[in-house]
Amino acid sequence: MKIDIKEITKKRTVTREDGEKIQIILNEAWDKEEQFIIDFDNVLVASVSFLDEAFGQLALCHTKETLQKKLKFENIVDYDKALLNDILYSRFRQRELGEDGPSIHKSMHGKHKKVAV
Amino acid sequence: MDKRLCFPKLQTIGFSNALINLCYSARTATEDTITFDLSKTDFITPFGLVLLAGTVAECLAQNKKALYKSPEQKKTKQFLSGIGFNQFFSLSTNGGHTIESPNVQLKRLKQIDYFLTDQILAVFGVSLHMTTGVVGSLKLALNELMTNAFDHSESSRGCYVCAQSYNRSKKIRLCIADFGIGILAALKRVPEYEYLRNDYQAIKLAIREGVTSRIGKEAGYGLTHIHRFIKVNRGKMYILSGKGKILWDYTGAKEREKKQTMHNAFKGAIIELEINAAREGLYFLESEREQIF
Repeated sequence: MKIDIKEITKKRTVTREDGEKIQIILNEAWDKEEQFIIDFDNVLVASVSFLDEAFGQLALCHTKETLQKKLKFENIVDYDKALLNDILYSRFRQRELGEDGPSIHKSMHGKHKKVAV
Repeated sequence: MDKRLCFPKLQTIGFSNALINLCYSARTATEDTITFDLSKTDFITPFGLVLLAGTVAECLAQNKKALYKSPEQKKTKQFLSGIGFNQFFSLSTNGGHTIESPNVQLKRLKQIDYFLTDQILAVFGVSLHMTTGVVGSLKLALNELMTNAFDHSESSRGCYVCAQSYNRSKKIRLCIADFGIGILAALKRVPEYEYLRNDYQAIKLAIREGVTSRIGKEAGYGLTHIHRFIKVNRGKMYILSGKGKILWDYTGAKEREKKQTMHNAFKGAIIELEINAAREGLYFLESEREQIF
């Protein structure tokens, strides 16, 4: 499945609400799709909120290997790539430490609530 | 005999000449009682706080009596109480309050305090998203700045530290100061830097990697790294020592380096950082490139 960030967000890639649009698509199709190809079209996002809401929280319920297998990022600028990696690492650490794990896990598959970073 | 020193409305690094003149008057006064009159003061930054606290301590060390007239503005008075300034005058903290925005209370250190460095980084961490590598490197750099302050002071005077975040203007100010011999004198102890002629030369050299006054020690990392961080952060860094003050301003489209000459030399060194807390982004080290994607 191809996800065109620019098209879906209409270039609004700043807030958690913007990121949530991507998260919903991913969550709904997660079990059906073998791989998601996420195309940034070289748009600079530079927003922790957007990237965390869209992808960061996947790290709270999936392993690194699963994410590497399921997600493929295309045309993502180096800065956003570094930011995304850091967010994922920080979410993996959070899961290991069990900080708010259960409630966040629930929000991922349930009502898509906001999670305080 | 009493000497009254009236401090201005704004006690910020922008008014360093006036403030250093006042502090110089306090230190060199022959009177046995000095009154620090802050009744007109409305706003005071970490720079103003460390300068004032250090001057009070210097006066007390000279066996002078230090008196304090508190600000007329209630908010300023409460701020000074909350940030720990009253301790320097042994004033009661009744009527004080807890400052809501993250801050590091005004502290006088006589030895390195690793807990304080953690507190400073916690203040940074409220607004800045940093990798563990960046936090670790900043911790190292801040510890080195404080070690420099102890080395330069060449006495038990120690160093002063204060940090304050400003929610409205989205800035964090951190000030570290010592009342020692100054950067020029400290560097000139090293044969390699004997050629230095003025404070500007010394300040500019001090931010270069590997430059240190500690002979035979692996150091000279602190200021260089902090300067690099401020540049990436688009913030400001001031260093004031002797008669020299340099501002590195990265806030605008054009990077600026501005010099100012002090009328009276400040015997010691003051470093003030103005960190830009407005921009959302990640601070990471070049070496931190192990990626999931």
